[in-house]
Amino acid sequence: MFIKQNFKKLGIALILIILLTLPPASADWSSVTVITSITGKVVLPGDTVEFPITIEKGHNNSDEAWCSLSIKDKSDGWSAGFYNDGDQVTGLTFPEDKNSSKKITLRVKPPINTPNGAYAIWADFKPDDGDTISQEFVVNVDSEAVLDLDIYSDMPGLETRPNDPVEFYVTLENDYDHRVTASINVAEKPDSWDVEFLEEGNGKYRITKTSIAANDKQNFIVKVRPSTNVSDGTYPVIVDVALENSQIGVSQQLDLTINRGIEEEKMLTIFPESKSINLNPGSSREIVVNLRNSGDRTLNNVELKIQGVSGITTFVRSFGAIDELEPGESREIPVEIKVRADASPDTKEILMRAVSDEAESEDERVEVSVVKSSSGGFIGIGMIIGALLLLVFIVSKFGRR
Amino acid sequence: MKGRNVFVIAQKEVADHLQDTGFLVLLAIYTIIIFSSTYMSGSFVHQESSMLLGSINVKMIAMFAPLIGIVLGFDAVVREQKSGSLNVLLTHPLFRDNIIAGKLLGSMLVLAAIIIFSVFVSIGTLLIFYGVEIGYTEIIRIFVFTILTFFYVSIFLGAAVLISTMVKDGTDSLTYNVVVWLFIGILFGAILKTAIAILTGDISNESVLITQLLNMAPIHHFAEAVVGRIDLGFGGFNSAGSVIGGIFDTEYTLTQCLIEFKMNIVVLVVTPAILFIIAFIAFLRKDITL
Repeated sequence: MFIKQNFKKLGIALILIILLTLPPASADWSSVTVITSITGKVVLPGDTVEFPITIEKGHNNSDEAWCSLSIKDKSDGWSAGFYNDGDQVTGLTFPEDKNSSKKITLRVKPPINTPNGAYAIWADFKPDDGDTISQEFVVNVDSEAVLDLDIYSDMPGLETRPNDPVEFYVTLENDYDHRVTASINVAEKPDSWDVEFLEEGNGKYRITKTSIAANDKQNFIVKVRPSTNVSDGTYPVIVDVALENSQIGVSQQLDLTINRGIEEEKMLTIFPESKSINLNPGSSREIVVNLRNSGDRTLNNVELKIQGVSGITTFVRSFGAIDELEPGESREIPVEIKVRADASPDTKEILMRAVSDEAESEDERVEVSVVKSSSGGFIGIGMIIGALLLLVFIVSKFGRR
Repeated sequence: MKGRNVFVIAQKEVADHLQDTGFLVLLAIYTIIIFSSTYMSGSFVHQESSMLLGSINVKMIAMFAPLIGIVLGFDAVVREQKSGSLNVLLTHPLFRDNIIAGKLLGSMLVLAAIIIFSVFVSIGTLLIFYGVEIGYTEIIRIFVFTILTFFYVSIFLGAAVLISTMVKDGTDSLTYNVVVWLFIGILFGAILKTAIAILTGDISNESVLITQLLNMAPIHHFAEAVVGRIDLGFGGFNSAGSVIGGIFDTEYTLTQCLIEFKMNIVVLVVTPAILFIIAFIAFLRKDITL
């Protein structure tokens, strides 16, 4: 019996000892309470790590309260600070008669040359009334850790001809809990190739930096123009994205295959209004042919050429060649197609091609079906019959001597 | 009674022509010439506003159609006089005016039939062979062209009848008519061009003097009214007389064409009438004794 009672007392004493020896995560007797759900994180050397912290005004405290924030201990060369809504803060104030809480972030950045290992950061939260609350945060520096920035391309491999530009679409994903700014650079490319980064919205503005909100992503275009004299093969273009503050970053390899055998994309294109028309012999019709500069360079002395076909005459109704056709610009040129009177009923093809000093279009075909007019034939028969009837009438009426 | 006599004479004149082998051969040859030249024109003409109208070889018609008028009229009077039938005719209750009016009327009727026949057969055959489209505009203009051709050839018919009335021999009449045809129908422009070049040294096609002198030639009025050119003769002037290319220019309405070329049309209509009147008077005053 005595032994049993001694065990109970010993158990209670142990529990009390354990409770009293636990680190003071909060102080019930203080005017504020500090709540930290995460106190340890893994980070790359040079990268930034954040610890979310919530500070609440103590219960049953109706007075105004404040709390100063400071870093008590950190390794040499490390930077650490408290941030609230993007601003670095050193103190918080809580209004009276209100039990409110505030969320702040402890942002810690180890130097880029920090060896791997666990490092402690001690933060002090000193309320206006009560004891200072000290909290330890552990940062585990690991050079093998994954950066919270990701880069990828859905189509990292494309094929083109020499000097024909291609566009890779690349996505940059920010997995940090805060906005990051990163610079975009070319880490590797073949000599004399042009690589430029374009804003995805209009594909026009060149970008050098991008800023991405927390847990957001951004697309941009990597436009690559291979040199004219490059030989067939696959060439890597490596895009490097580095965080502005730390200079650490991610990279994406884009493979561009040069193949002189693939069909060349035409810079100059033509679109006839009609690709098939029916005409009677001797009749004509005007069609409009649209000339378009589909490339990204200005074309000079653009002219529509039409190959002649026997029995069909064509007239290009324009003032000679177009001096300049800007990229994306198009012109409409009327073309009169006239079938000769003696053209036999047949289907003929007219070949059209636009040429300029720099490029020429593919051949477009307009099918002309020559169809004899049945009404014209009937009228012709009628005229001959009429003429013969007139002759018969005159002979019968006046032919008798 | 007088009117009926005129028609009887006209009917007999038509019958004489229709049963004249030489005339029928000429009619056939003329129709073939018109058809073949029109057919060939259709192969080469591509720029005209109407290909069918452009196919009609107006130059060929302008040069050779007068021969029909000459053939119809060159022996109209002199043949009757030489054969003595004129004296016989006048023993019947017929007046001289009945005879000349009947002959003119009969010749004009045959002429109209030939013009209509040749144009209709040529155009009709072209339509069948080529299968070209023909519209209302073209039909109307072909009809007006046929009328203008009739009046143009009537000038030579009137001249032929007049010459036939004035001379005493059919061969002379034919000779004079051929000379007239060659001079004012074929070579007037070339002769005028040469004369102007020698006298003034001006070889321009557009001088006022040339235009005024060309007014004397029926072919000028016919050419201007139909195709808007000042001359269609052999080696003559080759320039446009107006911005409107005659009644064949479908870019302008027929009314605009007729207004533009009203003077030419008036000349084409009035000239044969004057020649007929002169022939009429000459016949009335003619000594018909053999």
